[in-house]
Amino acid sequence: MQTHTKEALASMIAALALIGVIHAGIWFTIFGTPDFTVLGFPFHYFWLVAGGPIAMFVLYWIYYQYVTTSIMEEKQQLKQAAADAETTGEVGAEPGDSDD
Amino acid sequence: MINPLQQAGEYPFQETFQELAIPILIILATFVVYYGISYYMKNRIKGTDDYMVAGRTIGPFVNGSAISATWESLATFMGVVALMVQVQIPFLAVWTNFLLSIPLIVILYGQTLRRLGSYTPATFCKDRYGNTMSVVMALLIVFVMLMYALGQFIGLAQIAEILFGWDYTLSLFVIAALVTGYVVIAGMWGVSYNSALQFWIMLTAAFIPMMFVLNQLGSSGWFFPPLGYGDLVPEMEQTNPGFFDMTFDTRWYFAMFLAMALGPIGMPHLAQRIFTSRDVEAGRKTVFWFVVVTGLMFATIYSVAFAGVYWLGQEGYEVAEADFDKMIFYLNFAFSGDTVTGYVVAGAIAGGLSTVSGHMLAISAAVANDITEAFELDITEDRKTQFGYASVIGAGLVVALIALSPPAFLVVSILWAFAVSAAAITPTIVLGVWSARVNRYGAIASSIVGFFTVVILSPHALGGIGAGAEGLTADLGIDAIMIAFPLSILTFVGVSLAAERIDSLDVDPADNRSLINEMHGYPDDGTERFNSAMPLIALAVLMLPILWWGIQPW
Repeated sequence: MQTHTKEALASMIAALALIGVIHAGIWFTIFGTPDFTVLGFPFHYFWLVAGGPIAMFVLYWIYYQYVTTSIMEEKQQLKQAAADAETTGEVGAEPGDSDD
Repeated sequence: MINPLQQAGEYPFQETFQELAIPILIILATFVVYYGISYYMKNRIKGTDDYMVAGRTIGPFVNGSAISATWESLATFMGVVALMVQVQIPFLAVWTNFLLSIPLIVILYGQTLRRLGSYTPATFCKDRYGNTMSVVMALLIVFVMLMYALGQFIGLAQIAEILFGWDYTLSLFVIAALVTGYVVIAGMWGVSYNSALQFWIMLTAAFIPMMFVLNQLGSSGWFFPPLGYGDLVPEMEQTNPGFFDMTFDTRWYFAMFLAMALGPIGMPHLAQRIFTSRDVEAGRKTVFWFVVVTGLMFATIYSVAFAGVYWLGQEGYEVAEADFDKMIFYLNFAFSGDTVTGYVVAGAIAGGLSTVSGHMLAISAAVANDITEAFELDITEDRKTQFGYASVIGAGLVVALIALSPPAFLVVSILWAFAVSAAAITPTIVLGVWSARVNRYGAIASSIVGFFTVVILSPHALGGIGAGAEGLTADLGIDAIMIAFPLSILTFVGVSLAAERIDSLDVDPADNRSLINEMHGYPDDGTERFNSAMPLIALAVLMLPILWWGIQPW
């Protein structure tokens, strides 16, 4: 799979997963709330207040790790390959390169 | 029990300050610090980059705190508590959707536009779609920011009214002058560091006083307000049996998702904060700090709403709807007195200042940078920066003038702005980043269709035409999003793909190749990326059931 396809899929999956964990607090209620409490709160309330945001942090961390390691490394390799292929390469960074 | 229609001034509890000296000193001290920071940062303004995006130097912690303050606004202290008291748990679901916006901004376009060096989404539109779309986007940005800032100015003026007993007009113009002053002095440099400080003032102003309130209400977990009040739940269920019910149907929550999660994605004052990051990596890391500090802040504010409802129930008090906005102040007057409430008011003001300063800079960037570039005006960098200063002053004046006749409920104009943003701004930016197949014709048509659909269907413009349920959700003006958002996407995809087939329009997706590669950090090696029409068609097909769902009777 090409790097940009992986990046697009990772972004879409991350976005849908984040939306999913936040909305789980609503879906629990609509499709049947788990009948237990956490720290004294009904589960759906706890999920909206704290569970969802914590799950969000973890999911974003997974996305962040994937993008900053795998995807960025592959982009770097593509840039290197493109630079090697140039017969008369320019010296210095292209706009935006240093920001990564 | 008192009459629920009784108005402020007649409640059996303290409603306003009895001793003003210390509260005013606290509030003045915070203003001295804000102006001091701006004055200190003033020397760093060397050009437009410094004025609009703080020279792109802000690290993740400062930016995470600043973006949280900019995002939370005065509504966190007033409108959110009011709606939590009124709508109860369903509004918590609404506000949690809002929490999604910053991670989604970074994932969907923040890092790419930061890499591109954009000032606002309109700068991106100029590069991606050309000058006409840039002007359309700049006008949308100005409109949405004015609507959003309106609610903040009204709220800040109301606080000055309560605090000093001035009339509304005087309060409004004093607040407008104070806010405009500190934004003008140091632009985004001052606003970034001030907003970060303002966040911590907001958090401490909500968190610490709530410890005292919960302690006196009898909660054993009073030392950690965000999650410490679980032992009050059984009594709450007795006095307010419906407090934990979700009440509304699935469609209501879906409409809220479209407006509250996808709307803020298009908000330029939030995106602009990511553009101030010192690099793309710092922009990504900002999300971690944002989720931690905002999660803490929101959980604390929910405890305020819970304690407010609990306290009213325990005491048998009822409060007029128009006064729900002041619940956090009533609680603190009742349990902590004037001095602590003075600090809470300083926190609320900090929330308003941080957000409205972001709005003013977004308007300034749209007018001073994007519109001048779109019209290809030949002006120097210095003149452009001066134009930025003038735009901030103009924005302050215009918002203050509009706020002279404010809408009845503080948060309404903000939620309407979200709906406009979701339908008219977000699709243009996100699809423009992720697909080379969308083009200027689709973008212009989509923005116009999205904007006018929200305006026509919302209750604020044409009262006779509406969409969605009756009552609160329709009154908030966001039910229209169930129709406007899918229509906007369908228009965008349909017009973009149709334009490719009309030779005279001269649309070639390959023209975007260099820009798409650059913004995503790929080499310009001749490879065409993000060039398939299939994801667009799949998205358009997905919009059809949402549109059908939206036009059914609620």
